[in-house]
Amino acid sequence: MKKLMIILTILFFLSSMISAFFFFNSGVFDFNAGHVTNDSITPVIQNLNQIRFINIKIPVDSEECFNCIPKN
Amino acid sequence: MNKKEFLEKLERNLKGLSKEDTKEILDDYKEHFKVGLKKKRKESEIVESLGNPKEIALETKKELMGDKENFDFPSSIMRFFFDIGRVSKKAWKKIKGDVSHAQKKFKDRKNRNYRRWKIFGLVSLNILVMIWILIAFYAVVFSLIVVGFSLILSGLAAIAFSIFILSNNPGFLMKNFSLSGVFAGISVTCLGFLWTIGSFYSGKGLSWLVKKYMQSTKRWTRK
Repeated sequence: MKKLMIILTILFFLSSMISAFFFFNSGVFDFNAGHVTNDSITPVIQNLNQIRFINIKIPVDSEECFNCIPKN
Repeated sequence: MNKKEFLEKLERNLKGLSKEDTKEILDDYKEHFKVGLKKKRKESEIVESLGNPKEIALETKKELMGDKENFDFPSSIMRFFFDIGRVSKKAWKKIKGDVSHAQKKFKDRKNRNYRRWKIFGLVSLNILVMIWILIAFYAVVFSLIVVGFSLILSGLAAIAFSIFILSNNPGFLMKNFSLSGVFAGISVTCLGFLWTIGSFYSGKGLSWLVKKYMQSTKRWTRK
């Protein structure tokens, strides 16, 4: 059990770091703004919307508003 | 009467003497038997020659303890005071015995009542307070385990969804984003497993505490 817990902890930290690497590499994070912006997330949403049953509304209100409810 | 019966009866009637004295007397009579048997005499014959064990014991006791009862006092006044002393001693012993018996009885009753109140108090405390605290703690542990499972499931879902996107030949952005999702899913799943294991152990710890508490309660009620 102790070994399993050590392995899980190492895996947790490693995969978190790798995940962060790919996330920042994807371009979703706007380094100029210092956070995810509407413009940076829009291509991801557009791609996801191509999948059947997925229909995420694209935020159009402001460039820094990621969590706000988009206008129809 | 054989040797064994004789010696048993003698020992029974020698009660009141010290252990050493009793042993010495018994050894003495055993020696009588030994000598008699060597001379090819029967056990019953030896017993007959020795006499009644009760009388032997009485005689021996008188010799060793001193025959105060039948002591020939020089005057009747002395005899009178001796009798008063003897009767007072007996009465005092009786009173002392009765008092200590009554004290013991009273103490027993007091202890019994105290124990009853203690059990009642502990049971009330357990029903009114402890049981609810226990339920709350177990509910917390259960919810922690549920959280752990939900983390595992959401992690697995994130992995599955990201793999699904990856399998559709995505562009650079989505590829990186999905890979990020896969590893984030692995990370969350690991966290979920760790969380569940931790919750399970906290539940075990809680059960250990409950067990200890129950044992202590049992001990308190026994005292």
